[in-house]
Amino acid sequence: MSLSPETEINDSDYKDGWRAINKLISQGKSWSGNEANCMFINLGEGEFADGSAVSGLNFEDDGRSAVAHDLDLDGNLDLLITNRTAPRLRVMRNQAQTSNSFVQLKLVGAVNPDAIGARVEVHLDDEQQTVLAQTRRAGSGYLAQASSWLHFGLSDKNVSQVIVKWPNGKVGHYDDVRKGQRYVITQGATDVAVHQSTAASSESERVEDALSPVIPFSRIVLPNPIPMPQLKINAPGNEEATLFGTGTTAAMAGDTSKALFINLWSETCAPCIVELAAITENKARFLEANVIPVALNVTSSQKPAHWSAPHAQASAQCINVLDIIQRTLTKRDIALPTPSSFLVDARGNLVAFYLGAVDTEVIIKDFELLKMNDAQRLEASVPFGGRWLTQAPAPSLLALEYAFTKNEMHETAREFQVGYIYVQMARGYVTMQRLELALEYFDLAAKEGPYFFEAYSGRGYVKQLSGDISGAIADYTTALALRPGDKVVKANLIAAKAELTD
Amino acid sequence: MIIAPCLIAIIACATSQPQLDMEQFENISKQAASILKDRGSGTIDAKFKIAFSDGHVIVKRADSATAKFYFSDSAWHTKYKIVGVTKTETGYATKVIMLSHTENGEGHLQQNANLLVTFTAAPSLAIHAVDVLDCEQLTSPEALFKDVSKHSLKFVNYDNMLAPSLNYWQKHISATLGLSTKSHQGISLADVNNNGLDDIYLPQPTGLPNTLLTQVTPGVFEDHSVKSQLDFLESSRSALFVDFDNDGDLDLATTFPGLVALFANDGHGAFHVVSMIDAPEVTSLAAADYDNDGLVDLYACRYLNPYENQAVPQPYHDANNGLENIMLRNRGELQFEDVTSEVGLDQNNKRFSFAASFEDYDNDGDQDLYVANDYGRNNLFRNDRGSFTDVAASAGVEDISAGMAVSWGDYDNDGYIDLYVSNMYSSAGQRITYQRNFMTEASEETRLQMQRHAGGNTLFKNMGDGTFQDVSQTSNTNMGRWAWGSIFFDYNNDSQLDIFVPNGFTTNDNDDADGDDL
Repeated sequence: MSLSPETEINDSDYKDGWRAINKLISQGKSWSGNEANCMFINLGEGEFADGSAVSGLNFEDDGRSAVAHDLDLDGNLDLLITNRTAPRLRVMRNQAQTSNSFVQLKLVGAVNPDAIGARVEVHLDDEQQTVLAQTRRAGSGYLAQASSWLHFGLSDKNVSQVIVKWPNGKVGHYDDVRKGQRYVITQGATDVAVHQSTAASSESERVEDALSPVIPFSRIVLPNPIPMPQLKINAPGNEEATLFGTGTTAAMAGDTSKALFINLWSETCAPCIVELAAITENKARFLEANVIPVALNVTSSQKPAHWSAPHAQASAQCINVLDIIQRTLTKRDIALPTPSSFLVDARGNLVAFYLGAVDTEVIIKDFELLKMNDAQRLEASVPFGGRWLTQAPAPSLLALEYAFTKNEMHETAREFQVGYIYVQMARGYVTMQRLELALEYFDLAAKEGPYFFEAYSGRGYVKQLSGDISGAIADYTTALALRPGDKVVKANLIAAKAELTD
Repeated sequence: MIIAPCLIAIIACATSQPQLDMEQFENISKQAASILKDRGSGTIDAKFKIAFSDGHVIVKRADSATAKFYFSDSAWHTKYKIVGVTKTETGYATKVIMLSHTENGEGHLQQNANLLVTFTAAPSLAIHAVDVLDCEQLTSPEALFKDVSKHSLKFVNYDNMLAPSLNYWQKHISATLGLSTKSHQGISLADVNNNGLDDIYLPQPTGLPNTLLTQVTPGVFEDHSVKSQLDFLESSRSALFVDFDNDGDLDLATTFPGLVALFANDGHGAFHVVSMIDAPEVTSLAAADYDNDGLVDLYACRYLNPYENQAVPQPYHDANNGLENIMLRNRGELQFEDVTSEVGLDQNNKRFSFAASFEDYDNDGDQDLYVANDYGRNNLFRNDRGSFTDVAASAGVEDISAGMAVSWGDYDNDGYIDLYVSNMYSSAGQRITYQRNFMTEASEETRLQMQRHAGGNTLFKNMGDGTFQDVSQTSNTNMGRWAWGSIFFDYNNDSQLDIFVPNGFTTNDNDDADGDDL
């Protein structure tokens, strides 16, 4: 199509439109939501009737993909439907009571065994000599693969003949096909074979117990810890203090060997009071795990009742920083609720956070996260088991930098900038072959944080280029501990070790 | 009010008319919808005559002259969609789709109607009259389908893993892993363990394991994801089980971020990766032996998602700034090569593609390919001995619209396979694009394209001469709402293919509103 004037639409309005919609969705609003699934019933003569309500399929589920399959082998097609909202999978049994019959066919090809591309014609024994045609295919609908069984509804007719046009152009004629049966048709064989299912329950991976029960609050475990930026608080006596951040320590806790469980609360929030009472009751278990609970009041300087652990008033800066962190790490544009909690390890890295009133037993169980290495933590960050084909995506701290900058929190954003600049400087000098300068900047980056992986992997590379093989090996090893499975670093480490042996 | 990109595109083009007109009409439409909703449920009284029965469902239709609409008691659930507004001397006339249903002692009852609702404008907007343009009534002793998930998936981690919504998982999986909540995941059926019963493979978003559910006895599944070694945590969108290496067992092609991976079956139901093909943002896969060399080849659609800020389609109604789809020729042993240009599939190939499906639509013995594209025209690639030509325009199947899914099926049993394409039906789009002052400076072609864009799903009848006819309106199959993976299937075994349309984009928790309708 040639460029029409219609292509020159007001670019910024149009883009703003997209941004506005995406913002709306991220704020938890519906967009063409609550739309019911539709079903159109073929009346013959080219006409359909909307039978959505009588079908029992008219769920407002944000339906996506569907496949039909006779699951109960009763001769009519059941449906499997995937959805965006709960439940994300529905198994729908067809309970239409009709006197119509069917035949189900499975093809075994001589060229490609699945007979993909074969055209099947079922000829009915009726006056009109009706022919029902279907193709065996792989890939249809929306992101779906349909059943390997071809299902033909026969109304009340018999089958006079089945003709299969196989993918290599050969044609098979099959006369002995009776209604109400399932057949396997093998290319080259003269007869069809009635199929008997060999299904039997195997030694199973049956799930009897809930592995990861549905919980009423939000809980995010970070696959890679993220350094907490500085939080400003007003300690008792209205003394300004800070928590975390580059160059600061967990001063209020008075002990950098301890992890902190930061709880945001307010005296007007009933669930907060209940949650804090439960924490108080279990305080010994927190301390036993080297975790100090810290109550940060978001509205006043009031101390929680019976609270003997550290407490303070959260500044606006503190609330904003935590809010932006949770918005960024959930990709939701929804305000930080009260209560919310943040579990931060002794090194000042955010390990997990919780939105809403959280069960104390869940928190205490999550103290295990503090003892984990990064590989274990990655595993713990997903709700069920599983494997990665490539490698788990690494967190981009720039996403946080971007969010803070966008919200004009430049001081906090800077904590994510300086280290990045050092890394970029170092990389630039690597390109220029100025290895001593590259080494200097990687040193600074490793000291400054929070881009430790980039700093160590880059410095290892510079050391390797400079002939400091054992130094390179040490840095690569540190980098791999930070991001297990990184393929480039792994390969470099192997090369470095080989070099050392030589 | 958020103004949807399509409407912005429309408004931006309507330069000769003040925007106010369009906004006024939209305002009237919203008021009218609210008045109708407040008046409550609607039903039709008419001399209905049986038009169809399969022994379970009875469809009755009535001459509109005998039909009378009335607002009814709350036992009926009614939804009104306003799809057209025109000004009259005393007020406004609106075209309204009414869908009503109820359940009583006799079973399920459903009424569908097109209404002409006139409003007086003064002193305030009020209903003047409701006329029935056409109507039908369906009855069924019980719903055609029943949810048996709990039984069927009783040995599967259903309640905790498969059931919770993506809104839930968004609050439990770190965004740093890359979870997308738009749910571009399909479903695959294949008899992986060769027991005669199809198994289910569910590609899952990042952080949730892809899941293989083996059908161990008819209708009952067990989770074999771990045993099959297919429990991948990266985001997958689609998967095809095909014997790609012709060794007698099913192999697997599935999508991962940045690539398509091919897995070989060890013959005992465990899979291992053999090749990885670089290809970012692949949505659907379709497989066929396009060159009839005995090896099944693979076609991959790609999509840059405007809802994930990956791209802005330009222009909205005919965007060609997406990513190229690719044809991968099977060289044997699960090795594939990109032959997109070589076979002519590089024509008109920078679209936003959600779905593709092969079919020999011209019955000449090779596999042709239809590609549904969002934000613009679709492709019909005719295959002539392994070489493709995009004939969508001459075949009449460009279907300029928001293409989401492709389903082939011979709904009229004439031996030529017909085509059903999922799009989105937008009542707002319908109202606006049919305004007389809509895009007055645009070409007639563009106006029609914009109108088509909001017109819903398309049923294309294959005429058998290489062309198709759009029969969506006459067949009554266009109003499929915001449609996704529509399929043809014959639910009542009457030899006539019916259509199911999964529906809806984003419904959020604690939000009862429909959300703005694009």
